Amino acid sequence: MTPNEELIHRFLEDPAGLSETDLEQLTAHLRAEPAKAGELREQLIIDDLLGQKLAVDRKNFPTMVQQRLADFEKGEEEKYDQVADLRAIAESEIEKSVRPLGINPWVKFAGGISLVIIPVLCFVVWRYQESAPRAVANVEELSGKVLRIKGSTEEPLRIGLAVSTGETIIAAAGSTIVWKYKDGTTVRLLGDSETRIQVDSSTLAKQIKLERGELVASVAKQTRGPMVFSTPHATATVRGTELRLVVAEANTQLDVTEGMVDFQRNGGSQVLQVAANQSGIATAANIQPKEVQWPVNRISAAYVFEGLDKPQYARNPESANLRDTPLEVAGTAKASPKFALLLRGGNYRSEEGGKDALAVIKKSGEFGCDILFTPDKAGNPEPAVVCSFGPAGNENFLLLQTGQGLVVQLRDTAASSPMVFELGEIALGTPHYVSLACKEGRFIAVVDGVEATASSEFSNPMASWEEGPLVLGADASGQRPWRGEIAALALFDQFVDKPLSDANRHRYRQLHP
Amino acid sequence: MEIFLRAEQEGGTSLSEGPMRHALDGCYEKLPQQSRKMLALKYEQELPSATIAERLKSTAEAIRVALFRIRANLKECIASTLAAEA
Repeated sequence: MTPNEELIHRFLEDPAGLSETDLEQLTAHLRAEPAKAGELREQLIIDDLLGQKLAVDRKNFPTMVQQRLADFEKGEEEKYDQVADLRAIAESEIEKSVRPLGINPWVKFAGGISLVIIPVLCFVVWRYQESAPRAVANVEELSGKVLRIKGSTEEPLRIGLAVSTGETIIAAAGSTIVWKYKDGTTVRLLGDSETRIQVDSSTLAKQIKLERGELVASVAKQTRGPMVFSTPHATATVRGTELRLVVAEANTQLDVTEGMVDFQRNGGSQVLQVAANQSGIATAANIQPKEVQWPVNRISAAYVFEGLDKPQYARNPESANLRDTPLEVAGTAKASPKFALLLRGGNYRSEEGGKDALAVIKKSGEFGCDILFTPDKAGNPEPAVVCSFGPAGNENFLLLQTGQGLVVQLRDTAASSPMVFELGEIALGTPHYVSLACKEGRFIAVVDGVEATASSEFSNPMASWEEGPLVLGADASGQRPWRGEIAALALFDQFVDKPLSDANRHRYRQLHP
Repeated sequence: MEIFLRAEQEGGTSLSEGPMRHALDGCYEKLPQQSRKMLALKYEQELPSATIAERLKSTAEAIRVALFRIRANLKECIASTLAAEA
């Protein structure tokens, strides 16, 4: 077997189990040999059909009852002891009912009655089990303040606790929670969000109701039935995929990273099939595909530069809409043939962009930055500023390159010197996608998909950050010029964690192959 | 291949019903007992190849290859069935 065939077999076994390098190798192989891509697709179709066929077979009533009872035996004995008792009684009664009953008519009568009552009783108990709360997942990650509401009680969640059906989970602004189901499906609920955990009453398929806010889900292959995400505007139905849902007041946006999702407006009959790297948007009145954009979390972008051939946007702090806020050139700088910023001593800057971005970032208490740049082959022997944000001499944020070393500086009002995070060395003359983000208690930097540094003891300095320009290729005063090309930059009023950083990097690559 | 993919598309949003699923049911019944056992371990019990290999005294690699071939055979059978019905 060739290494590529082995990769295909491993991919079929567990698509999520391949490393990024393996996936890239597999992608290259499939591009080179389209016949193999067709063969793989056929294998995936048969795989899906078999999964459905054998899962449907499993849904036979007796098997389901046994499965449900087994579930209780695994972890919910205390709550459902009566189920086991009833099962024992039922089995005993059924066994009696098929034996010769002798000549006593009362025994015959009791047997007949039991034949009628016991299935009804089993059905009632089964329905009771489904309407009762079930622990379905465990909290894997949590930061900030996250509450769960069960009936009239409210309590803070913490890592390790189980979450159950019927619970409403509310993440405060700036908070994050990740819960993981037994099959590996994860749901990441971001700040200022509210969701309710449910299961389908007949199939036990997973359901999530997102009332407001944002979630990112990685859904393992579902055998009990599709996992359904509902919002006030639409429903997203998935069997196994990665997706992101953002519920705003007037609409719901769906971004699909992998797989395929059926997206349907509430009250509408049209089903929009949203494939990998596609988006859809649903309002109360309609549902339609949405142009794929970088970054995927554009709704959280405070500033976006994606090439000089496109408008540069800053978020208006009053309206929360993105508005045209062009970069202005200073010194020796120009557009490259691909509309990147070609920097040879000059810089590009935006006073208004810096001002607007700071306002929304301070409001959220979170900061993120994605930047794609290519350092000059000759290097930058002296400390040179790739990106600067804040007032001259007291910048809030600096991304610096010295030689091949990359460093982030964040202004720290509690100390006279800034906080410094070293991101390691980068290759010269090649493009690099760097993401960094911070909020109270956390800092993370990701370079080309690899976590370069992280801190869980980060003290958020943003409250005291001050207005100043956003500058690319130098610091705020135009000093410490950097040589190279900057293809894209996005600032966020959101903590961009690694999964989101990865999604943005892949999206950029998709749009700019 | 063409008829196979067309049937997939005509199956709508779900493959759980429709001509392909119907064809699969027939083709599945024709599989040897050992193949059905392997599919049951894979799709009903959702066991990884390594665990299936332990049970069947084989290797994970061999199981992956065997599953690949079973699926390829099923695909051929489904395509033939669909072509015959067209």
